Amino acid sequence: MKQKRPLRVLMIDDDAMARHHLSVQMRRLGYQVVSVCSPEEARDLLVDGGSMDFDCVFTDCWMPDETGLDVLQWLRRCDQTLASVVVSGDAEKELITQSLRGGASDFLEKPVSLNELTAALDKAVRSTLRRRENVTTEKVLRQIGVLQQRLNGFNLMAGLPLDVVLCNYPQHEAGGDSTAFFITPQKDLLAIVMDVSGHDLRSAIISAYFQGMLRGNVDAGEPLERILQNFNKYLVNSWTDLAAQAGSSPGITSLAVCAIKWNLDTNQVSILNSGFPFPYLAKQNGTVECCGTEGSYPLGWFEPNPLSEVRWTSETGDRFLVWTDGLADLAISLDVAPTSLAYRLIQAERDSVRSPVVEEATDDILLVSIRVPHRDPGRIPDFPLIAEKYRPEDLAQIDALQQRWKNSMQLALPELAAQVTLDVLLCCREAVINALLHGCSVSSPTPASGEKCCNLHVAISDCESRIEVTVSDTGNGHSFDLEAHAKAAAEDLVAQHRGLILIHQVPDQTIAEENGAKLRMTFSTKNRIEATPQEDLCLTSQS
Amino acid sequence: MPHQPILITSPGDLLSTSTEAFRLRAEASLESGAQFQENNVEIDLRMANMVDSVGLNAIVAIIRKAKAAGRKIRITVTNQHLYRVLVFTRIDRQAEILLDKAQAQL
Repeated sequence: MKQKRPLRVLMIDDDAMARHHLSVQMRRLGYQVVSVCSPEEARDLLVDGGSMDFDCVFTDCWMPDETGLDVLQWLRRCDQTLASVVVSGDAEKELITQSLRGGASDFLEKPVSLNELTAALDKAVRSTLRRRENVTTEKVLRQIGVLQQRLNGFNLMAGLPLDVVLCNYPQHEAGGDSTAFFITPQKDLLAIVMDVSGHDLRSAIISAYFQGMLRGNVDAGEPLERILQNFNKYLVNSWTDLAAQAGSSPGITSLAVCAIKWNLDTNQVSILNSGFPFPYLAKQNGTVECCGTEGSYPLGWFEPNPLSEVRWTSETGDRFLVWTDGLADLAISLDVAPTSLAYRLIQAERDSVRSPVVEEATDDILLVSIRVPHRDPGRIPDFPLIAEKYRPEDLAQIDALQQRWKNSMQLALPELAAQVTLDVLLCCREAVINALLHGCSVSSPTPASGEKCCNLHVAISDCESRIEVTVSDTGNGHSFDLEAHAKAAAEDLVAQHRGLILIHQVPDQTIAEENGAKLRMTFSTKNRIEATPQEDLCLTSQS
Repeated sequence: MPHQPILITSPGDLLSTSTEAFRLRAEASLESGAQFQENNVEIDLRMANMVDSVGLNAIVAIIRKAKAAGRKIRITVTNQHLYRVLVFTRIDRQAEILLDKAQAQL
């Protein structure tokens, strides 16, 4: 066993008498003392890790070439863990203030009494030990965090015909948000995203324990649902008692899990969810579907725990987006659509940079994107920036919605020209107002789903060269002759349907489907068509 | 005052939720200038980035009244987006549109 060395003080004083007197007292108190007569000599001892041989610096203030304050300044740069005490015959208030502000743990006036010396040294040494423990703990935590990331099996994804992006922004070095990737003998890809309650080391331990158990059971061919149920049983029945025995604060520890099982031969996808935010399925055309309808408990709350399961057959170009509630919370605080935030983070990940937007997060953020590449490798899929559903009562909030669309676009596409943003915002506003006013009006028929609503999808396509907007409602569309109205509105200054005219004229292309109940608008982000006076109205429609 | 344009200024965007005050102010301005038949109307949209269909209808209402009184109308805008909207909706056929090249603020 490594023996602890005696506590050691480095004393700096140009006065030989003072050095001798204080050294004797310190040794009587049990300290080893190394005394030097100038800051320069002290620095020679402290550089290159030498500071770790000392537990306190005890420095005189006024010396011929440099002062004790210079020593403090140097220590702040060289080793912030080594505490110091300043001693001086001059106890001016300003000097005391400067010393303490400069990082000294104490200031003593000469002559120093034994009691004062004892207390000051004790305080300084404790401070050094505490700071060094903190540094060591942080270093270990960072190593645990790195291990946690390496254990997730993400490297397995490299050889798969899938495009997988993982964005992880933990609040601390190690925590409870993590992922696990496996390939089963049945050629199933298992992508498991988990979020343990809390952000501390206990969360990291639960997460690591779950990963290990998961790996062993998957390798043994155990069905995923049974593995999750077993872990639920363990958390509910055993973990709380174990934690209490270990002196942890009592309380429930829960684990929210989203498990995607993807058969790479059949493209059958099954999503098991236990208290996790619903994942999103972004289709090739930029539309988004929420993969889940019924909520579920996280593991660790109740037993039995009925897991929610949805099944899909994935198509080429499909992208699953799974994120922890940290991303959803940040989107709310930024007032942006979560998909636009996801896009920003994925772009940053691809560029190998840390997105500055996450500095505002108050929770861990974990985002996983899994996509089946399109058969045509040259085809860049659409990515949804905004995918929202509105009800008739949301019409009163149209300005707030518009602000949110604008925030989302500016976050996702910071380089986008302001004019394009304005074009998109105007058309979204007009189309959503039309959908809510007419498509979802009292007189419109109630749809089979029983809910009158409007859907807005804004997607970015082809390396950000196009923005695709789709606005649809549950109504039957319209039957009037838009072209005739457009002419009348323009030439005879008829007020009606001016919004529809904007929708058909401002985008580069507008396609009306389902009698206008569904509008698809395309905006080029480059080479916008400039308006020329007297341009003829040109409407495109598909019934 | 004769030969002074009747100036109608929008302090910001003209949207369905904010156009009413502009419409009332415009009507008051047109009323107050009614005695000077020869005065033209100038709609200043330089502080607007966006005008939606309700805002456009308010502008159309001003144009109608002004035209009925035999006045000419000029609309000043600062950004290309708004210029495009006024052209696409053929308001440029009813009023002179002046594109001020100052940078629009989004």
